[in-house]
Amino acid sequence: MKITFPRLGTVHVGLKSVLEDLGHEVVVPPRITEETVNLGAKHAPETACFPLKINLGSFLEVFREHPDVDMIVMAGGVGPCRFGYYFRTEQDILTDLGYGHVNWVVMEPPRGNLRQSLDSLGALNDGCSTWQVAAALRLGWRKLVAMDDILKTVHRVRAHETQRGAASRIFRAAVTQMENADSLQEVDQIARQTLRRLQNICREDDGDTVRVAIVGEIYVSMEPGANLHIEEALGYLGAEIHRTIMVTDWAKENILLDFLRWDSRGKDHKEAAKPYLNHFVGGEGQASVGSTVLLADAVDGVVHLMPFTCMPEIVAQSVMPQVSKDYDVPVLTLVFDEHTGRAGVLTRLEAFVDLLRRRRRKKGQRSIG
Amino acid sequence: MSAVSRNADGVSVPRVGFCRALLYHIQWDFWKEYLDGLGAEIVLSPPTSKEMLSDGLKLAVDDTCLPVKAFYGHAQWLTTEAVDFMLVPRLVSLEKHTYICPKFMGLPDMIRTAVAGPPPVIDPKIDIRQSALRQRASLMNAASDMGFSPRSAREAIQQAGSPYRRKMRTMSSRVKPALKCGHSSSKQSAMKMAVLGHPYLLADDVTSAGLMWALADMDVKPVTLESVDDEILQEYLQDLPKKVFWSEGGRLLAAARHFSRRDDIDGIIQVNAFGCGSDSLLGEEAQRRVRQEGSCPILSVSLDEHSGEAGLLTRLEAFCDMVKRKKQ
Ligand code: SF4
Ligand code: SF4
Repeated sequence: MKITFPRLGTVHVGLKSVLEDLGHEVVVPPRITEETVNLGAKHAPETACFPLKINLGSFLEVFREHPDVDMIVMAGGVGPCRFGYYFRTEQDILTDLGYGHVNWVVMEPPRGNLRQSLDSLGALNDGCSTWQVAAALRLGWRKLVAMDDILKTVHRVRAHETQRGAASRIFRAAVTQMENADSLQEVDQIARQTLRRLQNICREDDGDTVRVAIVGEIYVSMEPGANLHIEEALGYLGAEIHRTIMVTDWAKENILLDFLRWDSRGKDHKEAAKPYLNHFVGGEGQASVGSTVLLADAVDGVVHLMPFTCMPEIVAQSVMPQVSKDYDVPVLTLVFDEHTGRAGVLTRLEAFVDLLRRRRRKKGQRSIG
Repeated sequence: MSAVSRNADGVSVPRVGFCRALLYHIQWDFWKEYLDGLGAEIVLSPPTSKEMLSDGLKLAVDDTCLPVKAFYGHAQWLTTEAVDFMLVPRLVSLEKHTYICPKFMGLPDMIRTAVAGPPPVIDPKIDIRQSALRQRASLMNAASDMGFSPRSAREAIQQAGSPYRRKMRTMSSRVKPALKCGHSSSKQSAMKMAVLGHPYLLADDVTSAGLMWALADMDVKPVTLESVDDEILQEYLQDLPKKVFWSEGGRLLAAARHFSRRDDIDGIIQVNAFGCGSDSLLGEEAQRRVRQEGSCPILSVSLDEHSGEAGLLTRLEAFCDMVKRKKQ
């Protein structure tokens, strides 16, 4: 079996490792570019979610280079938003385009059907012992955790780097190293080294740094190719980033331990959302609202990212003005699809960071005076 | 400042507003019995007007689907009616293992934020996943929030029956008679077409840009999924490679397959709401399945606030002409 899977942030670092250790050949989709987006948009239903389009484009890029890929592994879902239906739509389209031979292994959340989840895991395990499987999962997971730690540091130091692009370069190098690491020790060592290198590229905080929280839909939050690399852009504008959902949070909540109802971020963000959005609405909708409430004091502003027509985030966006008003925290909602231009987004980000900086200085003066 | 109304015994009763949009078209019978049972005075917004829709457009965020935008307009209308409460139920699930749509789940919150100075929004939750006891408690609480006694609440809940029942009203009272007497001159030539779309869209003459009317004018007899036995739909649904987790979306998909196999159906018109999440994926799948079934012609139209009646009419006419030629 030659396997591929959706590209999303640093997921491939861990997933590739696990699948290879289980004895599979793996093709990691190339980085998401404008071309990926256009290819997907060409073949997907016009009003499908943006992440679906990217995902489809990405698979097509894989097949273009590797027509012999014969298995796709991806996550499923049981609603209420569209995510759980992606694979059905993509499967139909890929079949039409001549890739009907592909086996789809869809990890449905155990909450939907435990037997089915075990079956899909079984489909991936071809003769490895339980011990080997456990070791493979452990290594893959450690890589994901390490990458999240590194990325969190990048989010912070990029605002202070002395040489533009230094943090991104170190990060990319870490991705490559991490992909090839084959022991827990090696993973830890790469992580330590990388974190040290990241510390060394910063100048001192001049006190003028603004802090921005990023909340919103999973895919456009976690995949730079989907959000026109706005994390980098914010960093260059001198903003430290606090992103509320990282790859491991998402994996814990949605795939691995869903049946334990493990909510790695605690129930807090749900409780905090309640006065504004008193019910789960799928995806990250309620979390976007709750995180904004919880972080309102800790950050200068919130950037809310959503794909065009995203069901849960439209609900969140609808109630956000009230949160912003009550907690006196500016919220910038950015909507992404294949027509979104980078220049427009950059202008809005610049204006937003300017606004935050002015507010911050004003507040500083007030507290002095 | 609300106009206090009194019942037969001279006791003042609350005026409760309800929007004639979205869930109204799925579940009104239940809510009417509930409110009647409580003894509330019901203020129902009128059928959507152009003004109400444009109010809704101003209040809703840009990318919201058309039916939800219209709902905002209804809620806005109710704020001018001196109602004491606005009842906006939170519909989560009417059927095992499915949802309605995330927007129905967040609707009361969206309305609370958007509509200026609304009367309190009362939002009982309807969710088949919760226990019967909790379901009941949710309806009891709503009644008590509106100031009704536990006794009248118990009676009202008893009277209204199952909160999970649905009865779709797909055609406005204006269109119905026109369709029934078929003001067609040449009955034989009349065509029968399946019209598939969310009931709250088809039933609303403004958001559907007069689609049902237009069809009636063209001697087309529209058939909707309500005419199909639920068992038949369920059977198709069981047959799918993945369970559809939107109950209403799934029914539309199943109905598309069902109609495409029926000899008496000359064509299928699929009506999508712009910005609708489930339509965007299931609409495409429905078309695919219809094409796989064979030769039933299918037209897909997407409605948004800019869809003029004229443009829609041209497309409908062209489609009907094509179907007629094929038929002959
Ligand atoms: S969260 Fe939004 S973009 Fe993501 S799958 Fe759901 S509806 Fe689509
Ligand atoms: S099902 Fe579609 S049209 Fe209906 S409320 Fe949800 S998104 Fe809107």
